[in-house]
Amino acid sequence: MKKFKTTFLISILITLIGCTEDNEPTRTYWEKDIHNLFEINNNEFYAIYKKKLDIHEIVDPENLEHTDTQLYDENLTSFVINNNLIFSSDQNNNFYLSDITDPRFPSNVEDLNIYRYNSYTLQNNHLYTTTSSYSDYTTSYYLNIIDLTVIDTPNFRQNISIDRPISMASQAGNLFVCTSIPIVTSTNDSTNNYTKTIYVERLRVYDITDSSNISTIELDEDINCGSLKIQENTLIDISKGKISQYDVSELPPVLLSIIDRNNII
Amino acid sequence: MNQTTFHTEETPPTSTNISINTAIQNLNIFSKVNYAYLGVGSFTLILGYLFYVIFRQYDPLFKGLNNYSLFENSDSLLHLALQYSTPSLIHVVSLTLIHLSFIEIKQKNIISVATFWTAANIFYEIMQNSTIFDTQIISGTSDPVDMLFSLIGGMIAAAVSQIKYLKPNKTSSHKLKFNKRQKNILFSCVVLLGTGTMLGCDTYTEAKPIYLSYEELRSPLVIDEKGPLTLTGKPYIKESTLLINNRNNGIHIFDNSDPENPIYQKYINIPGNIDMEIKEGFLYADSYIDLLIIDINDTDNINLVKRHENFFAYNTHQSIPSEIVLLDLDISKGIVVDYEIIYSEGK
Repeated sequence: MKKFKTTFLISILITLIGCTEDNEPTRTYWEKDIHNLFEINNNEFYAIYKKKLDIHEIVDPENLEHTDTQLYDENLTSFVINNNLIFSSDQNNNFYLSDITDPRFPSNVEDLNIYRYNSYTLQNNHLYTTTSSYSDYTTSYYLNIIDLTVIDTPNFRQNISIDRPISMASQAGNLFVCTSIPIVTSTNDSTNNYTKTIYVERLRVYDITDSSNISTIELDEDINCGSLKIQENTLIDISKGKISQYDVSELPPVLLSIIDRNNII
Repeated sequence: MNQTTFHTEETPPTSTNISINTAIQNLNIFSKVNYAYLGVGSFTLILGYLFYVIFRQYDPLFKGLNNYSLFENSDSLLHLALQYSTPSLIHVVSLTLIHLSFIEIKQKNIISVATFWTAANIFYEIMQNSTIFDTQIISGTSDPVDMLFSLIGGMIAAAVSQIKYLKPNKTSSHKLKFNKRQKNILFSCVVLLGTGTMLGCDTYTEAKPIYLSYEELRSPLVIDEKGPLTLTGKPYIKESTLLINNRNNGIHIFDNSDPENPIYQKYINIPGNIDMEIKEGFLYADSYIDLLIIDINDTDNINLVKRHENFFAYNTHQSIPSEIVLLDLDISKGIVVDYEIIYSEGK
């Protein structure tokens, strides 16, 4: 009877373990599409409409004139504009680059063939993207550096293994990447030893002065992070219901202010 | 043959020999199985699997490629129960019969096994109930109708087991006598089969959409001194203005001239807002399918300049998780802003 009980319990345990979700944090659904739905560049309003990128000319705020220009036939899900270049990606996370110097005649510059990207940023004619790949039931994440100095011939410079990326932003010679880091904790009771993996989001900073030799800048203290945005030496981070602003004119980042629920009440 | 016999006799028994002999002995259990019960039980189990494949949107085989409903567009409770709880019934019937095929068929065993599998299915349903436990031990929805159908399944299984054509002939030499090891193996196999088929690893939820009418969506803009206690969207910064989007609800406006001391200014209620841009003091903000142009040059006098209707594509899942399967969607009623769960199926 004892063996029966043991067998039954083991069977239940095996099936439960097999179907228990892993401890990787479940992203809330809106965080998947944090990228732009629309963006204004010069006097043009760019918006994703039915999975295509529509371009409107802003005659005045009350009058947006459709230019009859649509970029891409692919199922676009996100895009960002930088220096008259549009970086966009489709629902398969394929990546596209177009020149919009003349918005009425945009040209598809190059299919960069970057698959499974997570986030991207542009700095000093270099594109920084994070990508993922699956092998042996594990997912690996990479930071890719692509030199776009000669726009027609993108040049892959480097590929660095990183923790799971959440978002990133860049300024001058620094790249800020928010990554999700696994931390294994263990607890003991009288008979068993349990381990549990939890994920925490931590800010990583890279020196990108030399794009062929990216190096990590160690921070004295761990900085929690989420979605990053940067403007004029101010790094804005939104995570877990609070917005933190850091001065990043010099490293390490200096916390300027925190806006949280208490500031809003 | 002689050589083999000689060799066997000459070689002293080793632990490996004993294991092999034990394994062969254990394999003999298959000669004692009641194949009538095993056949009917397995067939019923396959029927249950086919039911999933055909009538479930997220079945284990095609992962939702099929989309057949047992009762099209029916709100009848009986129809819903048959659609969603029949697998529980089939599961108890099939597992009871398969289990019985390995043991001696007598009234006491039939009742015990049917009760065991009914209880196992009910236990599985209870484990899904997050109100009993602090957390949901097994993903899915604890459904009392599933429990009821499991009970009915146990009764059907017990009744089917009485069919004389299934029962072994009392005068035959069919004797079901297993040693303890064989019993353990058989019981393990049946339990693994039972729990494994109960616990698929896919989840999905079917729900009725809850709409925000187009009239409500396009009601006059509401500006508040303070916004709700959530910061769920993305930040946007332009010169000295910091905007923080409260996903699908509105936008907080801060004066960020001094980043060390951002000053809260106003909250603009914008249903369905995700993104924002500022150009020359005008805020461009989406409101589900509309684009709003709002003059924020004077934060004490914020006003809507223009609403570009139907500027964006209708997104049925903007406000709800993507895994929710919406039934009876009618976009003429308005924008989907919430959902009411009709059925949820877990691991």
